Amino acid sequence: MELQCRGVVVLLVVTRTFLPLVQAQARARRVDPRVIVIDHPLGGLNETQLAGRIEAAYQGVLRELDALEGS
Amino acid sequence: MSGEDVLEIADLTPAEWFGWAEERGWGDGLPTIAPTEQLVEEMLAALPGELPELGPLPPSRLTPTLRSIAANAVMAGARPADLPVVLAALAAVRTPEYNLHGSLATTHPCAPMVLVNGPVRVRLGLNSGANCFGQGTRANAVIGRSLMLTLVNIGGARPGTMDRSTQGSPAKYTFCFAENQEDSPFLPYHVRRGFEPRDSVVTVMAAEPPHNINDHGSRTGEEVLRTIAGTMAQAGSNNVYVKGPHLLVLGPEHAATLHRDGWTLPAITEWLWEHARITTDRISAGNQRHFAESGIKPDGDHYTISTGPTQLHIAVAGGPGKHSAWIPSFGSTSACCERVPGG
Repeated sequence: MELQCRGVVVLLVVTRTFLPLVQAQARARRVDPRVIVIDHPLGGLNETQLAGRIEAAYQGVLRELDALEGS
Repeated sequence: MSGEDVLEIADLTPAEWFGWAEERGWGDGLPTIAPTEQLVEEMLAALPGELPELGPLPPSRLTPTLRSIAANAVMAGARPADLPVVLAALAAVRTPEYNLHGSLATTHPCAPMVLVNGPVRVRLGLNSGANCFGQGTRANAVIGRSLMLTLVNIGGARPGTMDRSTQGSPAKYTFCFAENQEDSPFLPYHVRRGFEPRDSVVTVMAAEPPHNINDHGSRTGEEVLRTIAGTMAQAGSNNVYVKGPHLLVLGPEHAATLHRDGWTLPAITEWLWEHARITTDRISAGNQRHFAESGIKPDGDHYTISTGPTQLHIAVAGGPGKHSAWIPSFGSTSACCERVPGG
């Protein structure tokens, strides 16, 4: 929120399991963050699984940036 | 009283009230008492003049009113005389070093532990003796529960949304006990923290439930300490890599053995700091890498379980028997003290 106030584009990468917490926190802070949701968990993954999470997050970031550019 | 302070609902039986409140997420799964205007007023009427400052409670960031805290205390089964201790505990968990937000939202199973010292223990009938961590004493049960209900109902720490604990713990229902000052050979904990013996003080820490330390065989203080050190050296504790405080609750018989053999509290903490260590072969390679990412490296062929002897706090509680308890913490927390209003 502080970064957004300074004009920095903020994208939040969150795992699906923790999405309710992020949404509840956002409501408490009266903010509407741009959220990229990826599968849970992140810990304990092998290299292939981790690469999948990274790719999903990366594609999500690209989508959000494209959307920002188009807005 | 403004209309916003009172919720008009139809007359309900106790069982109907329980269901009605649970449907709204107001509770902990156990029955609660309906916080009627009369019961809440009786709570508030008994409060002393000077009270701790109230402020926003994370994660909801709502600021409770005295009335809303009293309502939660009524729901928990507290008596008017219990409320000042609840207010002190609430003020203590709001200390920034306690890390209320982190401790409520974490996947770790920590609960707000409340240790009570001073005359209020006797006045309220708090249990510091046999089964002090367990069931059976109203003051212990309702003070811890009042705090937790306030954090859930006002702070918003509801399981599954804001409270993301992987497994939780039974301590999340209530976790309050008193120090057994009468059977302790050492200075009371609150006096060692700078308070007067006549002060009533709560100490809070985001903590795991007590881990039992059974030692019926040792005959000397050093032998008892060796068992304690072995119990504290747990590879899966947050304290290994997050560090932070931890609490050793000596049973009176273990405390007496240590005192008889000339062990002072600084000597105990120093000895345990040196001996409660985890050899690197007990930590997986993956976890060692994880610790290293947090800046934690072994001290030779051992990991320590804190940053130094001063992180280990010691109190005495319990009744007859050869048991003590180690209470590890969330790590990113502190043992925070607050004077109970009204003494």
